[in-house]
Amino acid sequence: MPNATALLDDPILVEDNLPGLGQALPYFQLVNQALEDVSIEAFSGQRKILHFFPGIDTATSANSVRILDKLAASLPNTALLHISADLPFTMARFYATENLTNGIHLSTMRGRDMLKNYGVLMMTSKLAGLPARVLMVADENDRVLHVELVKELTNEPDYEAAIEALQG
Amino acid sequence: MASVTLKGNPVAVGGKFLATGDTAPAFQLADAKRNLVGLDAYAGKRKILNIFPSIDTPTCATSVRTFNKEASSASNSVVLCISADLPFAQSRFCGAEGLENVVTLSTFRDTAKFATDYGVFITDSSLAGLTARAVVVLDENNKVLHSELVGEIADEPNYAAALAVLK
Repeated sequence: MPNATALLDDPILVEDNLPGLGQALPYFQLVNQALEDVSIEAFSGQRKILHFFPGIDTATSANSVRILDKLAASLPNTALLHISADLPFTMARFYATENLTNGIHLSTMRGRDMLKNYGVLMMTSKLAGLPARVLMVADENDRVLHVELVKELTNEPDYEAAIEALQG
Repeated sequence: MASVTLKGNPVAVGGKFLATGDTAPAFQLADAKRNLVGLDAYAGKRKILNIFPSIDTPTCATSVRTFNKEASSASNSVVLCISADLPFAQSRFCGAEGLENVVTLSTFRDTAKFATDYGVFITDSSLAGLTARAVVVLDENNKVLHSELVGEIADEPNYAAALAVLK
């Protein structure tokens, strides 16, 4: 059975291979703000917060980026990765008007294999092709410590639970 | 496979770019409300397809503003601004700028398909995965009246040449 999320109660199917606790994060390659290819190896040895969201120009996604930026400030050796299909140009415009210092954005502009491999790709509805709203946390060996697929896209993820997984 | 440049460096563009007299292939793109629309949504109208890498870059934004301003002078025609930007980003831009004479369409559901069918798919360089800068003008029957694959991505398209074929 595929996973599911929803937008204002309309169900949306999500690719069904979300990693479980203790599993290793799959390899990925995405595109950073400077339009360069960046793989998971660039963050080798760091703990990771992977924040997947549908689009920065929506209130909930923008808010989550801001809140995670603040929360990540007190977390040592932790890479905060914001992942969406927004183009790097769009993210540059967003960052130019915000005072954010802790996260980096990675775009799926060259392909959405990563979203499939991570089990976060929405497959139905008008948002098909975009990432669902998901918070995933991994330790320095890329072992998954916490996963939340947000069940209603207009809701924010449980930030506290994600941060606790890194402090536990 | 065509080639253009980005600030002087060669960029490969995949697919066969449309030439005058060709019939434009069907497409399915997402409008501002994320609904899928095709050419048939504008049946009977002449169309200016303004295709570019991203609305959040200065040249692309200028092209959208310019076509928005000029579009009202061409009768029975619609300007379709097409990019891989998400509909959220396209809507934000047009809302902030008060642009009402252009329609924005996003390739986000399948950029490779649209871009290959129209011969505007950037396949290498830092922009790989996006659509090149191009203008294609179609008549009421979706026959190509004019097409320009802009040779240098940082340059603006030739607006006058595109609009002239509709006068």
